[in-house]
Amino acid sequence: MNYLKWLVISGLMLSICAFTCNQECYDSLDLQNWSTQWINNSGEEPQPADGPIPKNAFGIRLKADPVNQVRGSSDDSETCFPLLIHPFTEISLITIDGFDTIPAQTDISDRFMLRYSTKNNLEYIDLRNATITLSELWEITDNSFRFDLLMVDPPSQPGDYRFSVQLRFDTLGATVNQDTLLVLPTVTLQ
Amino acid sequence: MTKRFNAILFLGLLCIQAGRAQKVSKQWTSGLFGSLSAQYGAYQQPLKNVISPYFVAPGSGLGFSAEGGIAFKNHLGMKLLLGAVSTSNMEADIEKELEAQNPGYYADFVPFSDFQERRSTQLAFGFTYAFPFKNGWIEPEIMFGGTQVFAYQGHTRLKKAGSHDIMVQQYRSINTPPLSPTMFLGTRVSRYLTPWFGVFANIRGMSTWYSLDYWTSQEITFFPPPKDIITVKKTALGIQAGAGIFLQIGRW
Repeated sequence: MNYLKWLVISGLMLSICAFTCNQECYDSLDLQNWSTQWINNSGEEPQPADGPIPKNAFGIRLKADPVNQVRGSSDDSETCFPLLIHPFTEISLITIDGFDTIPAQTDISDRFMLRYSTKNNLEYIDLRNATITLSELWEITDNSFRFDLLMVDPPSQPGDYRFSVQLRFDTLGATVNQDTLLVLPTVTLQ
Repeated sequence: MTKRFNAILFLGLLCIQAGRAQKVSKQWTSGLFGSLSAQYGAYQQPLKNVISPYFVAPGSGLGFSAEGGIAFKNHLGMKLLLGAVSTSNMEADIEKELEAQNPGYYADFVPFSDFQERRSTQLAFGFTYAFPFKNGWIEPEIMFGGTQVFAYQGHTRLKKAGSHDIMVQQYRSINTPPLSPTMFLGTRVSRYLTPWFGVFANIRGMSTWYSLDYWTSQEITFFPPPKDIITVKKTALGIQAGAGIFLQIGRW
C-alpha cells in the first residue's frame, strides 16, 4: 500500500513538473529616457570615451531605463529573458554632414553592427537583424538596457563627424517606447 | 561469479597464512601492498585537459591515487597505479596560449557547456626497488601508463587590439585518444607504524605526451582564417608531492 502511495505521489509530482519545470520565462518591460555615449573598442572590451577615438575602433553606446517591468516568474531567484512589450522595428544611423562620397542625411546603417556578447557567445549582428535580438533576448545589466553599435566601415579620413540614430518601435499607441531620434554631438575620429 | 569468489577467498586465506607463518618484522619484507594517497601537483597545460578528478574542486591542484603492488625478496617490486589529478584554471591557460599564438589579439575561450567532462584518470604500471632502513624503506619507481587528456571544446574569440576585428571559432575535438602516454619517475619513503600498516610520502615527476586534433570552424571573421584542422601536440610536464597510508596485505 505504501509503495502504491509513493508511486502515485511521484507520478503526480512528475506531472506537475512537466508543466512548470524548465520552461523559459520572460520579464516584460518598456524603455524610456534614452541616452548616448561614444565608445572606444580598441581594448578587449568597449570603453566609454570622450576625446578623439581611433576611427577603426569607434562605436556608439545607447542606453535606456527599463520601465513597467513585469516578472515572468514567481521565483525571485529565477533569471528570465527580457521581452520588450513594444519591440524595435528599426534602428538606423544617419550621417548628418556626409563623408567620403556619401551625401549628408544618408542612412549608413550598413556600416554599423550590433555587438552581441553573452557568457557563451560573441557576435556582430547587422542592424536589420538586430531589432529581433534586442527585443527578445537582450540582457539587462546594472538595471540598464544598453547596447553598442560598432562602426565596422569607418570614414577613410580622420576628422570631425556628426551622426544621428533613429529608433522606431511597434508602439501600438502607447506612451512609452516612442519613436526616438537621437542627434549625437560631434565626434573626433583619428 | 562463484569461481571469482573462490579465487578471492583463496588469495585472502593465502595472505593470512603467509602473514602468520613468518616472523612479523618492522623491516621491509616481500609481499603484497596496497596504498592510498593524496597529493598536490603542478602541471603544464596550454590547451591541455588534465583537469579535476572525481571529487576534487577544479584548479585545486589536488590529486588522489590508489596503488597496489607486489614486492620480492630481492627488493624489486611491481606496482599498478590508478589515480586522478587536478590542475590549474584551464580556460585561462587556453586563452594564454591563444594570445601567444596570435600576438596583438585579445583571446577569450568559452566552453560550450559548463558541464563538460572535468575528470582525468591516470593508469600506470611500473617497477620499484627498495632500500630498507630501520622501520621503513626508500623506494625509487619508474612507471609507464596513460593519462586521459580531454579535448576541451568551445568557442574561441580573438579580438584585434585597436580595431573591431574579431574572429570567433568553434573548436571541436576529433580523434581524441582515450589515454595519452605518460611516464612517471619518483621516490617514496615508507615507514611502518605497525607491522602491517604505515605511512609514506612521495614525490613524482610526470611527463605526458599527447596529440589532440581540433576541427575548427569560423563563425565570424574579419581577417583571413587559419587552417580548418589544427593539431595540438604537447609534452606536458608535471610534478606531484603526496602522502598516504599503506597496508601490507600479505607477506612471504
